[in-house]
Amino acid sequence: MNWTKRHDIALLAAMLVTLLLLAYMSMFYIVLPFDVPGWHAPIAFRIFFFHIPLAWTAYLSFGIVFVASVAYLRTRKPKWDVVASCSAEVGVLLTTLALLTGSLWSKAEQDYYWRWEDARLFTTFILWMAYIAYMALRAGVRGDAKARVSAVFGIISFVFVPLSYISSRSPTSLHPTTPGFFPPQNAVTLLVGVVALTLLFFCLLRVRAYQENLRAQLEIIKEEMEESN
Amino acid sequence: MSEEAFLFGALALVAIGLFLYLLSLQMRQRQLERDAKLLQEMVRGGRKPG
Repeated sequence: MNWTKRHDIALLAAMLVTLLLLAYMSMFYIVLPFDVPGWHAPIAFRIFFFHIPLAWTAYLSFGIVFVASVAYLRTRKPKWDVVASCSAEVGVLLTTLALLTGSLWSKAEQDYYWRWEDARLFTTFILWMAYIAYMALRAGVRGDAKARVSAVFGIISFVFVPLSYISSRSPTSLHPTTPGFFPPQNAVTLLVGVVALTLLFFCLLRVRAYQENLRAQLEIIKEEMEESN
Repeated sequence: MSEEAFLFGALALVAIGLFLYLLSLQMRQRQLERDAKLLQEMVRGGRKPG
C-alpha cells in the first residue's frame, strides 16, 4: 500500500468515526434549550448540529474555489482548475443541504419555511445560485478559455461568502447568530460536527478530483490516438 | 407536524442528498472505467476513437 492510499483510508476512517460521534452526541449528549425563553421547538434544535457544520463546510468549499482559482490564474496549472471545479460541485451540494435543513428548523421554530426579506436567507440563496451558475458556465465553455473564464467567475462569486456570513447581523434577518444563541455546553458537539463535515468534504473532494484527473488523462489519450491515425 | 417530524425530515434529507451524490460518483466512476477499457481495446486493435 502506498502513502496516498494509506492517507485516503485514514481520512475515510476519521470521517466515519467523527460522523458516528456526531450522531451519538447530538442525540444523547447535548443540552436542549427546554427552559430558555423564546425557544418554541427545543427538540428541532438538534437540526443545528448538522445545519451549522453543513453551512461552514459549504463556505470552506467556496473558499477553496477562490484560492484554487487565484492559483490557476497565477500558475496556469490544470490541477488548480480541477480542485476549483470539484470543490464548487461539493459546495453546491452542501449549500443545498444547509438551505433545506435550515428551512425545516425555521418551520418548526418560527413557523415559516422561507422569507425573502430575511437577509441571511436571501444572500445564501444568491450564493447558491452563483455557484450553480459557475457549474453551468463550465459546462457551456469549451477549449482553453474554460479554465480561465471559470477561475475569474470563481473569484468574483466568492464575494457572496462573506456577504452571506455577515448578513445574519442585518436588522432584516431573523436568522440566529451563533454566540449567545447556543448553550455553551453544546460547543463540543458543534465542534465534532464541524470536524466530521470538514473531513467528509475532503473525502468527496479527493474522489471527485481523482475522477476528474482520470477523465482528463483519457481525453489526452483519445486526442493522441486521433492525431496518430 | 411535530418537532420530531421536522428533525427526522431534516436528517432524512441530508442522508438522501449524500446518498444520491455518492451514487452519482459511483456511476461516473463506472463510466470512466468503461471508457478506459474501450480505449485500451482500441489501442490494442489500432482503431480510431469515435
